[in-house]
Amino acid sequence: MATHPHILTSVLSVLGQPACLALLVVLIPTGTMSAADIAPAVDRFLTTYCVRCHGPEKQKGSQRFDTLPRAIGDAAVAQSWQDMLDALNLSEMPPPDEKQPTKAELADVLETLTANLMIARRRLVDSGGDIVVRRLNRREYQQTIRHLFGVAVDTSFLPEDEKIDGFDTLGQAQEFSSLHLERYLELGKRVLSRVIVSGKKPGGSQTKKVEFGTAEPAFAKEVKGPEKTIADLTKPGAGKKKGDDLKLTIAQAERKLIDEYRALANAQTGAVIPFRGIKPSVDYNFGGSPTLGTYRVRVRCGADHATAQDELFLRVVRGNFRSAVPDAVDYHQVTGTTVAPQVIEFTVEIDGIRSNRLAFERRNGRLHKVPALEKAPTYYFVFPNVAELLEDRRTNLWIDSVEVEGPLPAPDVPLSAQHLFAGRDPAKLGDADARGLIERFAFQAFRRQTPEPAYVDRLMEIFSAGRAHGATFIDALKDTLAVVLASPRFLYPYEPRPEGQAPRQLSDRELAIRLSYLFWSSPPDEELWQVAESGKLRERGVFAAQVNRLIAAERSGLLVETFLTGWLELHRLAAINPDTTHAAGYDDAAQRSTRRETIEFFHALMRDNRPIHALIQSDFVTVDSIAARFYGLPGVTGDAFRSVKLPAGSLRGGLLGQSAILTLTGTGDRTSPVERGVFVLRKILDRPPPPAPANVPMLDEKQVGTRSIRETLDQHMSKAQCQSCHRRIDPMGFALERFDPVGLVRDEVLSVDGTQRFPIATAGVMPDGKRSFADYAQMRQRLMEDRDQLVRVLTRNLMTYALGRTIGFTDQDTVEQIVAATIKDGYGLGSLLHHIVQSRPFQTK
Amino acid sequence: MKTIHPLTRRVVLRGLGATICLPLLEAFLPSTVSAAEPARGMKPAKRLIFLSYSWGVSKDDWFPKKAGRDYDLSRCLEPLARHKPDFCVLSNLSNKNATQGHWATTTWLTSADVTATPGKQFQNTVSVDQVAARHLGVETRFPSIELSNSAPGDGYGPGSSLSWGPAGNAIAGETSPVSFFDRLFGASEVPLAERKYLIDHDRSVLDAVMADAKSMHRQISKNDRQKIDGYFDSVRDIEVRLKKSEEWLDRPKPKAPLERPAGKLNTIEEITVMYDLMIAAIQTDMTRVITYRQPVEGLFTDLGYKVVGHSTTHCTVQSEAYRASIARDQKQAELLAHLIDGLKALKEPDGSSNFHHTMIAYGSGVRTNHDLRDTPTLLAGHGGGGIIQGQHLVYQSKQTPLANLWHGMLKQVGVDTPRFADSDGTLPGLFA
Repeated sequence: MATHPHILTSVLSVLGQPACLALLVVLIPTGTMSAADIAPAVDRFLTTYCVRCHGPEKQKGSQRFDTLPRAIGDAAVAQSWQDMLDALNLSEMPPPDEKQPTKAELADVLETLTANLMIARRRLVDSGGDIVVRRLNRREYQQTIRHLFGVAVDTSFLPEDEKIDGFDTLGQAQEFSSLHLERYLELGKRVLSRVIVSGKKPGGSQTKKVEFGTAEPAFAKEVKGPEKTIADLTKPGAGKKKGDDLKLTIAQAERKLIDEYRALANAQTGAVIPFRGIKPSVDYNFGGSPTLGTYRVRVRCGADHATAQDELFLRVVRGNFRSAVPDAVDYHQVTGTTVAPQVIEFTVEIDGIRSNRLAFERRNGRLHKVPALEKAPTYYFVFPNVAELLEDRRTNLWIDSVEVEGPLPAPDVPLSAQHLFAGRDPAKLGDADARGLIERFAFQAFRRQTPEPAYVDRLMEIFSAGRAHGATFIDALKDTLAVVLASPRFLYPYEPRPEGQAPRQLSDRELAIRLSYLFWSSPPDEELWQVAESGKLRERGVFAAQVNRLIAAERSGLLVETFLTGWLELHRLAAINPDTTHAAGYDDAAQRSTRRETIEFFHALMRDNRPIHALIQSDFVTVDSIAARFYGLPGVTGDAFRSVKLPAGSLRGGLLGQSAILTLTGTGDRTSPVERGVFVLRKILDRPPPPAPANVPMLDEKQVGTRSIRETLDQHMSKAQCQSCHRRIDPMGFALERFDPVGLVRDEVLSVDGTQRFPIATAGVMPDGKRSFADYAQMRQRLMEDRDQLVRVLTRNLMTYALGRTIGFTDQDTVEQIVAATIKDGYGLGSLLHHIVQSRPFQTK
Repeated sequence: MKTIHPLTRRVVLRGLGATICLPLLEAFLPSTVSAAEPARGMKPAKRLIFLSYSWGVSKDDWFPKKAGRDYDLSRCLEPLARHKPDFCVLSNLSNKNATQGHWATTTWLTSADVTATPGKQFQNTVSVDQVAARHLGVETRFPSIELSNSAPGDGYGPGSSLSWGPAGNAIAGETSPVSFFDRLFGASEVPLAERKYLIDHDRSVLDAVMADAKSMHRQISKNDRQKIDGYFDSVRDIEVRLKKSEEWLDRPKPKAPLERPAGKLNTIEEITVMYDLMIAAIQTDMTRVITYRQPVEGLFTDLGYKVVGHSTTHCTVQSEAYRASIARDQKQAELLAHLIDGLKALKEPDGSSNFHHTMIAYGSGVRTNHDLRDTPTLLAGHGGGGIIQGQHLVYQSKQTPLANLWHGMLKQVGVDTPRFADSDGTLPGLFA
């Protein structure tokens, strides 16, 4: 029985992104290309071990290596070298009866040849700095529709975005097929049917309030379930079916608890949640067809206790009853009491896409099954989780009432019905008005660009044919305008440059569009349009001020979240089920807050222009009360994320001390030193190892069970094929073994089968093979010494995202200039963004 | 040779494989044959189905141990036992140019070397189903149908379905059973005049967006033009489809032999419904070529396992992840057996089963782990005869191109091409 060593470490590294592209665009530090791609060391190896059979004398297998070009000019030559690498990796060559290289020799040549090939392949695919036109991705489409019309749109209806390196902004990755066009047309129709509403005007803002005491009529209805079950199962002559006994036991237990619940004083005035499963949640439903818009929700609540409770949180779930995947989940800390209730306030956008139901629960943490009911099917219970909550004795949440106000006044948008019809009553408009209306619509949709007359002619044909076919003015108009939202000039931000012409500076209008899509994923707002149209955007102070304004806006969070999801692969956290982790404190809430922490931390660095190397080491963390509790940091109350100073000697501070990063590099129940090591090399040190080769040889699986992970992974050092990469990867990961699978600090590790305990061995050497470290704190010091590398990695990744193309050899000088300028400015993350948007590639088509 | 497939009079009851008789509906017959003159002596049409999934299979429990005719089914393939005489397991086939350990479906049907194009990071080539569709799709309402899934998860590699167009462009697959149903059977109640109007309307829509695209096209560089060409191609595809609709205008869509899917489906249900819709599409002769990139991640949840697909490929055989892997393989085999049941129950006018004239290729571009050699491959159905089914064929070298199978299947359905991708010969022992 054999297995690849990765079994232990779950190589998720290339998950979710095209691995080949990851290989090809992997960025190699420095290295200007000489005529020869293949290093002399490889030549020496070939001469010693290969050329006797694959050279001038003999050409076994029709292979000849002495004449194989050392400069890799095309894919065929690259493939010949790749075949050779594969043969070495698979131990197929040299044959057993021939002279064998030592392990060290083989490891060295594998490492060198792999790196040489990566660089050569990267050069072969270099785009030459051309930014290819790209289509709005799902997110940009959604934000653009929101910007123009103020309505939400369900973009999961569109085919998924293709990504490169996790980024969804690259034109070269995008495909367009007939399904896309059909879906854009259909979504356009849906949008317009929302914007142009014929018939009755929606009513104004209203306030509704729901109270939850046992005195409320709704309560009597709720308790009928178990009572009916008992009556049915105990009435004379009731047929006994399999499972009825258990059903009756459960119903009777519930009944008993209901009586206890009714006797509670606080239950008279509000809902006591979950009270041992009797009332797992209360909900507020906006109903079947509410007026769409934003509503303010006020939850008056507190601890079911006269004094405030430290660990009490309200969980708000948006989703249909018992739906497996809710549309949204939010947590709010509860500091009020029944004596001094607190009002928790937030807004909800009712958009016709996400559920109209809000459920209010207590944050229950990880639930444990009641042993007696473990085998009971869940459908015996009216509410989910009741079986788990029956023996729960923690402080309940008391909810007095939920008040909902709305819809709140909507912000003005360029293509509201009001603007589209220029304030006139659409019922009084005639066909003669259609053309002007269509032109006005297309102008806005095309980001303030006048549509071609020939195009408008075609649109008018659709409109007229619709009218001739008997459609009303409004219906024919909606049908016509939907076509605009599927037209190329809407879907593709258009930057003309005829073939053969030299790159040109963007117009102010184009530059404004690039800027606003970069920071906000949407078209420019009124202020940016005005600056662009005044011709002053490129004035030094004006440009910087606009960029600062874009960064400072709350909306720049969208850039941060999208960028980090791609760069740090935050989406991998979704694959970690909190329930399967070992740490009782790691629940859904902790996972959400610690994921948010990584985003808020980066956003804070960006907005406050703090040094980029805070990503390696910072003396603060950005947390809310939930994340702070998870890390054991005292004194943080409330839902807002804020910077909290760390005690001296803390291992937190920096990405590698964040639960999100430490968790997503593992499986939830195990750490993966390899994954963590790869993360450090890739994201911080700019020394990405190649992806795990296909068809790798296997290690002996039987030896795994009772060993420590370190001992198991030491097998990597026994084979040259593994050693060539893992000698750089593994030590970084071993130092991070100080953190457990969800990122808590620990002192010992378990064997794979969980039976043996081992002390953590964190000492190692940096990838340069020179500088050593004893533990994570020292390794972090070493990483700080290499912080310029982090600036380089981040520059290239941000440029990839911002330019919408892979960053290649052509860009090397630009990258180095930006890195140098950022360092000179004091390493600020905000400065880096300024330098990127000021760079030639960003301002050129 | 013109092959015509008159609609069978039998309708499959969903999921049971039982057959019932319905009165012959004139509308179900191809236009060249009137109801009074049933299609006697016509050769039943041949059909191709390609099914694939991510993350490969359980390393020790999917591949049969023994070669030849009297091989024993592995435990993962056990649910297919009743169909054993009707399929082959093919060992040692590989896409030699595949290099990415997590790309299970990107080049499965193309056998391409995606790095072979200078200046391009990635360039795929046409997939075998699309080559076949050019030939088999002439007489059907849909030349081919591409299906994918709504919650894809990871492990497939680039692409939006198994299919790639003539330029190596990704073809987006229909992801929802409801949309698939509507494409097949929707709008069948719309009156003729209205259908005519809708086709004209769609033409005007295409004219309009093309007018806009052309005005952009004149002023952009070659690279940009290639991107916009993707838009042109999609317009052209719809034009072709509209032309098809026009040809089929006087023939309303057949009545659906099953109900429109409703409600939220779990993954097992989603695959089952997709299979049932495929059977319905074939039964009504809407298409003769289908590809389906199947969902995998949700199967684990449905089967009661809390694992992610990737972990099932890097696990010890004693682990929970490996048990999940086996359970998934068995469920997939069970669903495939259900699909075969359905096709066997469809009868051609000559009394033979529809399955007899169909070929189903079922497999993945990843074996397990990051292993891309000797990938799981199963061929079911008789392709009209001449396929020696009921064996476990083990080819000599792990370098035997999978493209040899694709090439053989093309030949079986009458597509005469000297080679497909890196094919270098026939598969002896399979195609007689």
